[in-house]
Amino acid sequence: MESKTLFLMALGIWLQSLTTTRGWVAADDRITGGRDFIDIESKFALRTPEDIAEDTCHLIPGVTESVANCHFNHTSKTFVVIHGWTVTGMYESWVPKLVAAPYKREPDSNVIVVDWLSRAQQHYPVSAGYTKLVGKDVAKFINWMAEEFHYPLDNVHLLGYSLGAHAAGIAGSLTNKKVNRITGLDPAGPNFEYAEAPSRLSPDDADFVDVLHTFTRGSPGRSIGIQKPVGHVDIYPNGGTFQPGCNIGEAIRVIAERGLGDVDQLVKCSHERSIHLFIDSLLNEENPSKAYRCNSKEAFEKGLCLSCRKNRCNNLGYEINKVRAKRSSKMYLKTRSQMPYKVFHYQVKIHFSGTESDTQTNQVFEISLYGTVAESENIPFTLPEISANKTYSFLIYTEVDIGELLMLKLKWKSDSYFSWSDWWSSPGFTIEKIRVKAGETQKKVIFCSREKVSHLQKGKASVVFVKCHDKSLNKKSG
Amino acid sequence: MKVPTAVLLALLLCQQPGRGQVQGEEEEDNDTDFGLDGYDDDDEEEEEEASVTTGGRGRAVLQCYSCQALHRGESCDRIQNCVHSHSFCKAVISHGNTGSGPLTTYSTWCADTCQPFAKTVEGTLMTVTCCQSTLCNLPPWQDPLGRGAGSPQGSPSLVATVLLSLLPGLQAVASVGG
Repeated sequence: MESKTLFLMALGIWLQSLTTTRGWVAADDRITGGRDFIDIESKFALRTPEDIAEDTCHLIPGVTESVANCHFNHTSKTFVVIHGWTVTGMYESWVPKLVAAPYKREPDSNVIVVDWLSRAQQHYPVSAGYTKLVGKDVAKFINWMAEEFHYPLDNVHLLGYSLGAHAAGIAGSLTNKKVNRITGLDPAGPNFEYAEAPSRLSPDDADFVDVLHTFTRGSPGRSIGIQKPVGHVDIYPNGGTFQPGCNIGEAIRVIAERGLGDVDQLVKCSHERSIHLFIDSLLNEENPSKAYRCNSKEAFEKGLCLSCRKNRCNNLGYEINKVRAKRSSKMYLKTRSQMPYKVFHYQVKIHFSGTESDTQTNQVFEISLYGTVAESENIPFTLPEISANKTYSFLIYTEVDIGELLMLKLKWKSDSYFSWSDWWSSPGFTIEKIRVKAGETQKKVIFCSREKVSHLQKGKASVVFVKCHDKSLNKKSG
Repeated sequence: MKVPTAVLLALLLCQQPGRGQVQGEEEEDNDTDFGLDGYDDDDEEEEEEASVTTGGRGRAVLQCYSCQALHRGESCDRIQNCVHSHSFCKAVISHGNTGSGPLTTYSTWCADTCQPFAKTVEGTLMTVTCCQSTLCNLPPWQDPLGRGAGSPQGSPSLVATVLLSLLPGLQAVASVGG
């Protein structure tokens, strides 16, 4: 794993050497405002739904006309997009996408892109240090908008990616009134993991701070994304370490398909996934992905955390419920490898009965779920150990919405395609009932063996269970 | 109205084996040896099934039979007083071939939502039925007068015969649909 990261780093550096010649383009033509704003180096481009890719009109702090010139809409929300460290000195390919998505969802809103590219293309520690100045720039701009135009800060939503998340946090801590919301998109880890709250993104920086952690692999401090929770709600998709579809094999496939143009994206695939998850939440508003509060990744993997009581579940992204717990809470979910990312989570609980005395380790099973709308067949899962007369709980998820559950099939796979030991005496257990809790619908379903008791034998035919009870969890009685 | 309820209560109390089974399940629900890091709803789940009381004066509480995976001919002896949010008696009937021949199972309970439904899944006809009146969810083969299969007069009732002839038909409809 470590070597893979090193390889990616090397790839990144090589890329930088390829593109440095092009990097100078954006650094010139500084736009500066009057008196108090002379030291503002960051630029604020109000992009339009018609031109999501170019900075054609700048809001210039101190220059009142600039705001009217760019047709700033004073009565709607404003999204402020803050990019992160850049090896190329240019905007990355996600920027237009993160401009287009808010406009699709809130057509009257203002989407401003903060250009701090010249400071963001330095050596990482230097750029990391610049987040303080960038945050100060953004705060000055926001305060000016509030004072000059009485623009309500309650309408301001900062979207900061990587180093940009910490710049957003600093901006939020310096505005005269709190901004409505900061969304931290995989806030940078190096130099910030152990930093004090004032110099990084923290819950105090806005009325509400939500954070997506998507690339937190490695030891704390060395991980690209910050590992510790830094908002009111911190969501760790797929455990937060690494994202599906981001492995090397996938990278090679994409290079083969699209050429080297998008390589910068692949290097930071998991890091950047935070952005695409947020975009997904803006575009697919009707069915948001749900995240579930859990004390550990391991407990989540056992399916123990699919509860929605007491705000234990929340929507990922734009439609999040603004829950401010006393202590920050970590939330988890699984996702698909592409948009739409939503999956459906199930906790499965099985009690294995029998006289088998041996404990079996790393046993592979396949479960199939059949519902009113669709089915999801042969979902593999591995139990680290099983022994008789114990109950096991685990998490499975499906990419399709199968509707209300009706039937379930379970198969215990043999170790190899043809295993002699299993042939002579294949181990088996009896199962009466299987309990399933659906996270998305908050329903508990009991499946019963059709024959009262089923014999599940390793390497033999699958056994069928039919629904024999269900119950909604979220509805209060009375 | 008092007298029949009391009779039912007495009946329920006498059915110790049946009751014991259900309680056993609830206990199993709670024997979570998963450690403290999970938020299992079971830990704090309120007892949703209303207890059998005579005190609910003036408020009509739906009563449903409540049984799991009965085979054809087996009667359901357990009656449940539904909580107020549960306004349906829901039943799931499965009918299909198993290793040991054709098999029909019947499960029924109080439910807050219910959508009638029929679909053949992997060769098994799954039917969901819903009804909203007291004890409307008797297994189709059970004598409505309360004499279960165990009693000498427990001959197959008309309802059971109807269902028996109905099931293959439903299966055919579902197959055509699929």
